[in-house]
Amino acid sequence: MAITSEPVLEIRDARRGFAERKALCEVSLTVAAGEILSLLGPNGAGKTTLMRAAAGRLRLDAGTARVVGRDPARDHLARRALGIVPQSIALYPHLTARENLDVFARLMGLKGKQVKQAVALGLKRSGLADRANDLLTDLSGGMQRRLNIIAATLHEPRLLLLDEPTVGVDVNAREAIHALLHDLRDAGMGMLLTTHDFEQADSLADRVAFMLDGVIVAEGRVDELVTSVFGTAKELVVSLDHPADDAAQAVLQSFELRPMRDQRLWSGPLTGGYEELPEIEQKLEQSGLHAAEIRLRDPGLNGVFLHLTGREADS
Amino acid sequence: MTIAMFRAMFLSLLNDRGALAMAFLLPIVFFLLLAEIFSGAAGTELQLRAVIVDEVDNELSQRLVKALRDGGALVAVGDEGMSRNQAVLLVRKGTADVGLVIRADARAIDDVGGFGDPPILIISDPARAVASLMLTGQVQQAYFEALPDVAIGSVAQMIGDQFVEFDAQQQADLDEGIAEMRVDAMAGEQSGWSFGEMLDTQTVAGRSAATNHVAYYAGAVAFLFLLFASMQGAISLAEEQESGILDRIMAGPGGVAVLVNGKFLFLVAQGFVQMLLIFCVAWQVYGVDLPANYLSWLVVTLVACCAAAGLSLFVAAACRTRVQAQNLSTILILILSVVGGSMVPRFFMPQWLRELGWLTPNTWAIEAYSGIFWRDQLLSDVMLPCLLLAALGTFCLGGAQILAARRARI
Repeated sequence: MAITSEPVLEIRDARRGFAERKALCEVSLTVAAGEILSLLGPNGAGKTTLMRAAAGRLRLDAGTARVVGRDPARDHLARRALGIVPQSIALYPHLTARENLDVFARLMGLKGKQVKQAVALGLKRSGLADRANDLLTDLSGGMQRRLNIIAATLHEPRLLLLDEPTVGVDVNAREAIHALLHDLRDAGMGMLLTTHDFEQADSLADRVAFMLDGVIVAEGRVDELVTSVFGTAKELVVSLDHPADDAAQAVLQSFELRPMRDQRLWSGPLTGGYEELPEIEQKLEQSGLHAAEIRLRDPGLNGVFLHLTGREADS
Repeated sequence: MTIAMFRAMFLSLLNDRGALAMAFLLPIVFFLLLAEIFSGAAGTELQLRAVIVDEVDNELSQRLVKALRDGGALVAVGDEGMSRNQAVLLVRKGTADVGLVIRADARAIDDVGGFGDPPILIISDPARAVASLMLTGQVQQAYFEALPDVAIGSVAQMIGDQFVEFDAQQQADLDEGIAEMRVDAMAGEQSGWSFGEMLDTQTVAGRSAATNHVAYYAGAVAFLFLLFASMQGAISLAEEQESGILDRIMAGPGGVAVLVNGKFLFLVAQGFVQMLLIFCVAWQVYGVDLPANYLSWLVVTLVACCAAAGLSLFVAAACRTRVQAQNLSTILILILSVVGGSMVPRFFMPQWLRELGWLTPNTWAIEAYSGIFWRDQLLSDVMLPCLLLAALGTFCLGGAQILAARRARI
């Protein structure tokens, strides 16, 4: 990790509304150089709006967005320090990998030798040097994703904005993308990425920020956030046959469990460990509740988000 | 950076063979087809397909039928000795454009002022009404040329009946003269009566009169495909918006100006090559005099390409999605091309539609090209359509930049 104290992105008290809906409510965050910050939250939480504000593509009703200390909506030096990786493959399908990188290097203002060097480095970083002359459509989904990311880094931006960079790829391809992003981070690039995938954020991000209804409800390092909610406890997950009625809910809440889905799946911290499980099972049986599954697991971001918001990330 | 956008469009086209053929091969094929079809309809080589039935089958009717068949203005279809009903069927089926029957149940051909039905019946299909008019003219000409004795005899009879009564000597001289005419006509000799001698024709066309209509279609078809190719290329603007390329480019230092200007340059260049190919084919195959007018052609072609590129980008920038852009541009091209004269020649249109055509860039381009290649006009004579095309291209390019920038920001 190569985090420095200098923020490459700084958003302060950002507010933005669309008609009656508030997309951003007093949102503040920073991304340092050499740091990956993952924005987590369900659809409509305000992640995309925040990304657009960071890219200077959206006028804020109040507050500021600064990239390397400059306004990305007005200052071309700020935009020069910015790379954007859209969720879809934002490349030309009838161009080869090399031609795509060549075009985007020039569009980012590189010239002559700079273009050649950037294209060569991009092909190397993405691991596509041996497929450089293949049309984009002939590359696998994972390769296209890597090229999609590299195309945004040819001008060596200080800040990379990534929207769901691994959506729709298999595990192996995802690992390759994670490795690529870690390389870029280690080279000093700051990154803000959105994702629904808590596991991805867990393994990829240095810090995470949970967004819900236009508000950042929690922000910090993954281990800090987990500890703040679960302490040293494990996460208890109880899966029921059918939704819990009022009486059953009272029982479950007495164990500090919260519902995750349709009142069937309940989760919460368990300090006592495996020794407590038989007792819990017994109490549930006594209350007339049949648990299809009771398990203990190491707590993760999904559990943190549930306990901070009372909602699952993909709800 | 603008050149980078140009390069992206160029390479995309180059790597897509289907698009390449659509852009450069199809317009030439289309032009050749239209030129062949319409040069026949508008030119001098049009031949009527006529079915002729001679129910009378006497010496006079045979002379008339022979004159019609030998006249060269029509192609006789169907067998000799057909019935009237068979002729009607052939016209109804479209095998023949028109039919002609010399009727046995009417007065005789040489009975000009008598009673009874007219001796000649024309069988006409309302869908090809112009064919019956053309045949009427052919029959009149053949009548005077092949049956001069009948024509003169009828006129003499009318004069004798209504104005001056001939004495015996005069009548004898008249009968002798008419008899000689009959002998000459039966021998196939011209006997001094041909309506064609009353007519002369002065063409108002330019140097290469034979290729005038081809010059029209070169301009009309070229601009039609210029619009198609430009719209297709400009739709990539909507695709780039959907795929996120627009987001990526907008974040770059060049912004939306690079995107729109790069595409504009490419579309103008692509259009120029298209126009060059079509006019080269028109020059080589049909003799349209491109080398003698290359400078005027160059100016008109450049402004036409600018207009098509600007208009296409404006339409694409105004649409939210690719599908919307595709639908709107298709409708727009069809309307502009029909009203503007790219599909149906303007000289076939009613007056109000011709005037309406002046609201379309197709008409401006066609008028400019027609002025150069058809009417032998100078560039200064076609400056108005050129200025209109240039103004349209400029305004639309500006509009496209504003719309694309607005679309890129929320």
